[in-house]
Amino acid sequence: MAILGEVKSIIADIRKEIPDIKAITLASKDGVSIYSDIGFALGEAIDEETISALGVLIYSTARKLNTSFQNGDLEGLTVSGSAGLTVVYDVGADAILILVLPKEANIGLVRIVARQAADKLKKLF
Amino acid sequence: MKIDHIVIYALTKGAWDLLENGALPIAATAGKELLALMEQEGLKVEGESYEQLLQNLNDIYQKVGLAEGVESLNGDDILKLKINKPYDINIMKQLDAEGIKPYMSPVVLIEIAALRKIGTKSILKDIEIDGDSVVITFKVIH
Repeated sequence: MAILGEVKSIIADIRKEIPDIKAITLASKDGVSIYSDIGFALGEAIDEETISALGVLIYSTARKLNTSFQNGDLEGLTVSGSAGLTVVYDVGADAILILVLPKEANIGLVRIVARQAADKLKKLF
Repeated sequence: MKIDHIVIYALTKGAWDLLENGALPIAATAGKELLALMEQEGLKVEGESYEQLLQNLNDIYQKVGLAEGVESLNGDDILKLKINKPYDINIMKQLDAEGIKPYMSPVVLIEIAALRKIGTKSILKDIEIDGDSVVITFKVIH
């Protein structure tokens, strides 16, 4: 199976495990949207590529800050908004996984599912 | 050192010092803007196929003196673009010697944005200096 086919399958599994998830994007660390499953209309000023680039930039900023404080390897990042959450996980040397969730999402479940998915995705890149 | 080389060096090093390779997404965004500005100046980067795109880039590089040309060194799922004698190779060499990828060089910005423009989904894997050339390696995602 081509990489993209396997990516789609892993992302579909995330959606099955977390049905209320609003969006999932797998982005390469140079800011390319490898695959996106976005369940709502994006505003005119934003697209999948911009989301991917922003995800990488915020992840890289957090990683640098984390390293500066000598807090070990960055495992993930949560951005908390008044109406929802954005979580970002590392997927090896080449990619990150961005999940957009409702505010009331079960973050414990999200962490387990996202970590398992990230481990599978790491093997593809 | 020419003033535009100083600017490229400062922008590249400044962002790299903060984010290291996390700064790479800036290249795609800046490259997209660069292509739009070039188009306004009558230098439209286009091509219905990868081969046509390369020919078009060759013509533009030679016309405006950005580089002597670009050639493709492809392998399975790997796409390598070798840009021969880019005008800012000395700055690229200096950045490379300091462990910084020269991702803000205009020819690098153009290559990254051009590939995306023709719809090739690829991950930037490396930017290497090879003599007086720069080789950009992408992994193609199918």
